[in-house]
Amino acid sequence: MVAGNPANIALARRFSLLHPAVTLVFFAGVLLLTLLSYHPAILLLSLVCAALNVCLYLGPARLLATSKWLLPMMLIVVLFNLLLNRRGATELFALGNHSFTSESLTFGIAIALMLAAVMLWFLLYQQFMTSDRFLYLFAPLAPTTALTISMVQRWIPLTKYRFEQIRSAQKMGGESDQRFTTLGDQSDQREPAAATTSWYRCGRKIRLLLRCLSALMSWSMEDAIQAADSMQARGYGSKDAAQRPAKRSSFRSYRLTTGDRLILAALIVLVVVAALTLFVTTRDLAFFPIFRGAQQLSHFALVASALLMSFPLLVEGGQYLRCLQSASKN
Amino acid sequence: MSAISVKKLSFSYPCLQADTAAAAERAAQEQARLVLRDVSFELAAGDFALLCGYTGSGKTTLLRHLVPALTPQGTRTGQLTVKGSVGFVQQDPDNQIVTDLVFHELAFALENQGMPTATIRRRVAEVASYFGLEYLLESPTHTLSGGQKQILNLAAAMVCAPDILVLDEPTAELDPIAAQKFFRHLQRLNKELGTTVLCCEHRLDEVLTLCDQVLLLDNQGDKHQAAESVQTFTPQELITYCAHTDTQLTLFLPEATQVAIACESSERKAQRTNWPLDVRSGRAWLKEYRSKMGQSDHLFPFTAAQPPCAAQSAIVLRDLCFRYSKHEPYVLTHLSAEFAQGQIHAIVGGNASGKSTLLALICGLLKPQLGQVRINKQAGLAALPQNPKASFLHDTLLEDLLDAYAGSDPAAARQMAQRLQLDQLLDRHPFDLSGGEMQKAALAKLLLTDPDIILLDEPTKGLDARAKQEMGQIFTQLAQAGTTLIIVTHDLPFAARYTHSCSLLAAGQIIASDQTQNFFAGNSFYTTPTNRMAKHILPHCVTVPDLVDALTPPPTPVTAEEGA
Repeated sequence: MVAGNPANIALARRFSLLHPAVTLVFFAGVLLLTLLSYHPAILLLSLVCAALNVCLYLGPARLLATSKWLLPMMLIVVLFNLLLNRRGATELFALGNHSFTSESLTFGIAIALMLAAVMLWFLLYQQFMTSDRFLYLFAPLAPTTALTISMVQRWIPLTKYRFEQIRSAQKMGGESDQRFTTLGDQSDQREPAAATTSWYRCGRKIRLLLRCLSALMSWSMEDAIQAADSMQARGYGSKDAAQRPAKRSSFRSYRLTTGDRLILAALIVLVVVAALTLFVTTRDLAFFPIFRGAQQLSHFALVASALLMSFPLLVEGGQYLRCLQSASKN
Repeated sequence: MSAISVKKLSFSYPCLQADTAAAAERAAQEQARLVLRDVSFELAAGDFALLCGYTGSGKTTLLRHLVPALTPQGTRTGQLTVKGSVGFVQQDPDNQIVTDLVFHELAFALENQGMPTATIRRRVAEVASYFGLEYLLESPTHTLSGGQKQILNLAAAMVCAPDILVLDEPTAELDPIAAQKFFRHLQRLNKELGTTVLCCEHRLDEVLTLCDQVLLLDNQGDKHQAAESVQTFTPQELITYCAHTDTQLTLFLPEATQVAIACESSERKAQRTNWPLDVRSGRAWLKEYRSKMGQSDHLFPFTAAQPPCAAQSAIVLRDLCFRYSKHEPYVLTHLSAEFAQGQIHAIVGGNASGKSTLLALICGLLKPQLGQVRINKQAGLAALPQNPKASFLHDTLLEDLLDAYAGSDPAAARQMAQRLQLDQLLDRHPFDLSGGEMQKAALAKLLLTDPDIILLDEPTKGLDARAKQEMGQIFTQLAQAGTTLIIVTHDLPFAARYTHSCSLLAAGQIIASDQTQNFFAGNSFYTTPTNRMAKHILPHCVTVPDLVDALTPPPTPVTAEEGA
């Protein structure tokens, strides 16, 4: 029934068919390597792989749209670091008595790479770890929390919808576009002079907004009673102790296939190897006062990280080759 | 074997005021506060029963007594036995949904019971395929339409395979087409699974053909009166009962039945046991009646009347094109229309045909990509939201009415309340009003801004027949005073009865627009039950009064004949 294939994105891809545990291990490993290593080479690798994955799964257009704010953000991070970080020994140039160091520039670049990579990975994470996959993993541990998360996810769009309704009802309630500023206050009749000041109007707008929010609260609470009834009628929180089960159960289920097991094992090995070699060989990495220790990065760590981070690409590539094979057979 | 048996059930909600000193006085008060008084009825297993009664007759209270988890707190006397498990569906489609995904919603009740995962999956899959929800299983619940949501609620209640299904006005918030679909599911449950169904409903016209039994909770139309008794009828008996005694309840009946009741003479009313309930039996009745009255069976030719020259256009739409975003198809394509001043216009059309979008364009909430909306600059424009709850910002109705327009004085607010018969309710919280009252209150709030054009999105949704009639009369008065009303609706009988012109919106355009009578007389599918029933003989009859007028001969010669 549940193939774990969310309908919202173009994910008729092999990677989305993997067991949620595989997805979790992959993202946990990738984020671990990205966040804990300050080595620019690893960070650059992470960013490139993340970008390639976004390109593959969400399309180049999405990557382009994301880089429209990602690149300026990276630039700002680098600039701020250069301007504000006074540590470091190698002076690039000086303005007045403020010297700008190459170490702070390197550090800024590393941080910017890390931030951008993490953001792209999270973009992917959101697409692959849908709420049901996440809940599948954690619902057995904490069923009530899992239900709460699900209810909140139901509640957010509902409340948003209600608020939009209230806002537009107020906007359309009378003198068309004048409406939103004139409603909610009778005092402007008495103080025509004050009514023209922008501060006054702003205050009134805020007051109206607060009114709308309070109306939203009453509406939500009013309707929550019905939701509570509906839950009770379906046996939630049954008063009868004999009828009440020891624990809520969960219906979510994904089968851990042989392929999943193999991939899971491979991923865990990769993560462990990459993490260990990385931490051992970049133990001496330091940005200040002099950038050093970068050369000691072992090739082992680099290759393991590259394999891990490009893992979805490998999976899809394998799938593609298999398709080609079966096509040529026919 | 009876599934539900209620004997002499009386109930009152707990006394909220603690200041009643004398015990005798308190007892007397409680007696007066009884919501149900000596109610008795039985329901056999496998029955499909309809519970009806006026607003405030305690229908919801009675239904809640039947659901073990929801039994109201209060004083209860009498006997009540319910054999088997009970599923419950309420009125509002949105508020009953608890979780974010359709399959989780279906699994919710089973999860509560701590069932093993494999069983849950199997049940959810079964129920989903039975209700045709498989293709929606992965969807977030908020993306469903109102009708789909309510079917989901029904499925979520059925997932535990209850023996009895109790429904409290399940289709009040749905449009007629979605309501029909919902009832078809109910009928299937009853016929195929043998589930006992007890449904409280205003839309008698839909349910009457489905149910075996009607329970009439009678409080003589008086809100403050406890329901005295439950009378049990078959649908035919109910109609005979209505035909003889109750004129108010007649409004709730199917149109074919209403016509028959209005036309038949009183002695024949008493004998009649096969009242028409739908268009098919309505046609048979019509044939029988006309031959009896010596009226010819031939087609009465209908020439469309020329629409009177409208004084002035209040709103002109020119070549409107609109889409919500670049990636979506156009909702409206080159739509042009004119709406005459001082008239009531209906815009009808299927779900998602862009009716609400068109309203939002007219009132300026959305801007068209092409074309223009021309409205007289001085004209005040107001729109009634689809859900009246969105209109209220305050804790009492009076405060809300005062807030309606900057500087409106209490006297004007009270006057408006009086005009719409809301003056008794001014101190209430707006959310405590009934559906019809809330709709009127929202309208009152709008009218205080003295608009020249009013846009209404589904104003009859959730209203019973009586409230609809009242709403229609208010609209007529407004139009007579020169206000232009544009109503988006699914309710064809309402449109036929109270509007001056009707426009059909389909494929992003106004496909047909005509004077109301011409509009419905010219349609074969998209028309009122009365028109469908009489189409082959009297094509110009589109409402119940139209047909009754056409069928009953002018009064004077008839009385002379009958006298002789």
